[in-house]
Amino acid sequence: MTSQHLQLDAAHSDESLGRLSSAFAALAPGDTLILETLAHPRKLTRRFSEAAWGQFDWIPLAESGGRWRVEVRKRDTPGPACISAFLGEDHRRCDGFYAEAEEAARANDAARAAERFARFELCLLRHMAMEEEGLFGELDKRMGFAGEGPTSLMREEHEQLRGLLARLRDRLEAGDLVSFADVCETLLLLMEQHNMKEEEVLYPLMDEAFAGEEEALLKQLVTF
Amino acid sequence: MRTAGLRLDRGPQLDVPLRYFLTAPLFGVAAGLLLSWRGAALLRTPWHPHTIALAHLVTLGVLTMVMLGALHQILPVVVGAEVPGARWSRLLHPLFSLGVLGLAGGLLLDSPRLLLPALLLLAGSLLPLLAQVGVGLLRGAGHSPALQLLRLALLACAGTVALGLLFGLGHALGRWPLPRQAGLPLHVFWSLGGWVGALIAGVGMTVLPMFYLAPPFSRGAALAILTALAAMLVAAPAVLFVTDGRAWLLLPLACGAAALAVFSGEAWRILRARRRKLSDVSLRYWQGGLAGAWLTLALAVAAVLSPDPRWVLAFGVVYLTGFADAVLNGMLTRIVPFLVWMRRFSHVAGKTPVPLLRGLLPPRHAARQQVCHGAAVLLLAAAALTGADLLTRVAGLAFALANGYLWANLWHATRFRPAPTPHAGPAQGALGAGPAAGDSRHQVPVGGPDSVLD
Repeated sequence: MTSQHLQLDAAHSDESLGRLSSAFAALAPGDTLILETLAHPRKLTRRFSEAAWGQFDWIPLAESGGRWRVEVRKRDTPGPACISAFLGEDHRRCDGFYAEAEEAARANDAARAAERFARFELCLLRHMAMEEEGLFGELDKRMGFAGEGPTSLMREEHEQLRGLLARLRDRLEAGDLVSFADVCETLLLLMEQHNMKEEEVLYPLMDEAFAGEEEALLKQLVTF
Repeated sequence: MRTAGLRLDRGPQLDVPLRYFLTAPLFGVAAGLLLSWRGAALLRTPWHPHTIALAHLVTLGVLTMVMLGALHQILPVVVGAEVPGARWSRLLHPLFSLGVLGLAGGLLLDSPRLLLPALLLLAGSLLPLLAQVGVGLLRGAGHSPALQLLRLALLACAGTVALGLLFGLGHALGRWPLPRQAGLPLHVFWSLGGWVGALIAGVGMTVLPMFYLAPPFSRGAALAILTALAAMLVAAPAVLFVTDGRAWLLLPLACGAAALAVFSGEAWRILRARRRKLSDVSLRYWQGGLAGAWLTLALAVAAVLSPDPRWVLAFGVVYLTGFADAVLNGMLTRIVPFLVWMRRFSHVAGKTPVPLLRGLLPPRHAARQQVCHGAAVLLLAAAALTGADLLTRVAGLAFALANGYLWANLWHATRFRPAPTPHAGPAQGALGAGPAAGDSRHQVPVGGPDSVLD
């Protein structure tokens, strides 16, 4: 598996889309492209999705001072076609980043722990934003949950996860890797039981509620 | 999919699962002390009333106790629905506990006056509990093999209880409504394979990927386990009531062994492929339990090939303690601190200092407890195989010690409560950079000197 780099100064221009499309076309299945932009690449993602939907994974890796770093991976299998598969795959991605961050902390590798935690944090925050801003409200409306449905508990648990992420960030900045790893363990259990509830109950419900509109919704979600 | 009323429940009040989880080790202590008191006499034949009393202290008092608590807790996670009327556990749990004690006492003292009310208590508590869990399982969404295994386990448990009540009545009244030669093995097949086996398989499929970031069970393996266990549950009564040859028993036994082999192999495979490579006590308990499953399979083969009843006893001892109890010990070690944390501290995490999971149950104590449990299992297996009296008594003491230690660990975790006011100094091991809460009159200090184990 190989990786290429592409830096785009004007993230939204036709020229940027062209360069991204050319670089992506040159990738072999399974290869990745590391994309760097000077602003949130939302519009670029949307336009790229129209051209290459189902062929790529779009994985934001870091954001700092408005600059974004995104991994674009060329899939060797078709992309997820329903919400449960898309969000479930994103859970696995968050899990992977989490495991790397915790392992680095236990190995007392501060630099690697900070880098991997940043990836994990971005991945998890983005995942929760996709759900809360892109799906929960509409699901509540369609199913007539009126704030009492399954999304209310999920929102609560998202808040708890955000609280723990903030504590982890504090520990990391204080250089306290032992304590960081201890907090990780607590977050892991909270996150995994939360994920299981979503995957077993909530996502199948979403598949049912949004049947026939999956592609449009997923194209929207990938821009988060 | 059924969506009406779907709420993704939070789960029962904390006291509901905890009352089961905290009682189970006490029955383990009782079983260990009984074995230590009576010695090798309890391990001569599986069918002596005193041996049956010992077995039920473990199967009902320890395993069923934990599994009832676990079902109350896991249903909201896997099917999005609570066990209806979970608060009734506050009544049903003590009735069940008294029933188990009465059953053991009645068998040990050969007292129908004790046995009959005990059977009434068991029927009056277990049947409503099974009905509650059954309604929760039927209401829940989903058709995964794990969920089907939970449903299968519940059916097997209902059958086991019905048979057990009939045999208990028969023993107390001296009249046997069913042929004992067929009914007793069926009771064993349905309880060990159906209730204990299917439940551990269903729960394992659910929690292993969740706790250890492991890949899910392959669909083929999951369906193979489900099919083999279902076949065992159906084949056992067919063989036992239709045929009279011992050879036919091999059919349900082979189905059960196949299910155990596939489950333990697949669980081992996914644990090896887990993303989180770090190890902890609960993971080592699972690994030890899977090794116990393989030892059980070897002992089952020996029991089939040899007429010596000691192989059957060793098979039962290792299946119950080295596989099932080991796995449940690991689950309790992980789940109890998490439930306490979720229920008492998660809503204030990030806002005020809260304890960490490892503060609730310090890993070094969990590790020491696991060593005790492992030693107890090895001693019990050796005692069952040799029949040595002193070894049996020592094994009983070791099992009591392991369970007592488990109880102390779990009790320690449940003592932590959030502070009422956010004004005091920082607490050791607390989560949160700000000032710690700490009115010591109302709060167990987080990792502080008041803690039982530190």
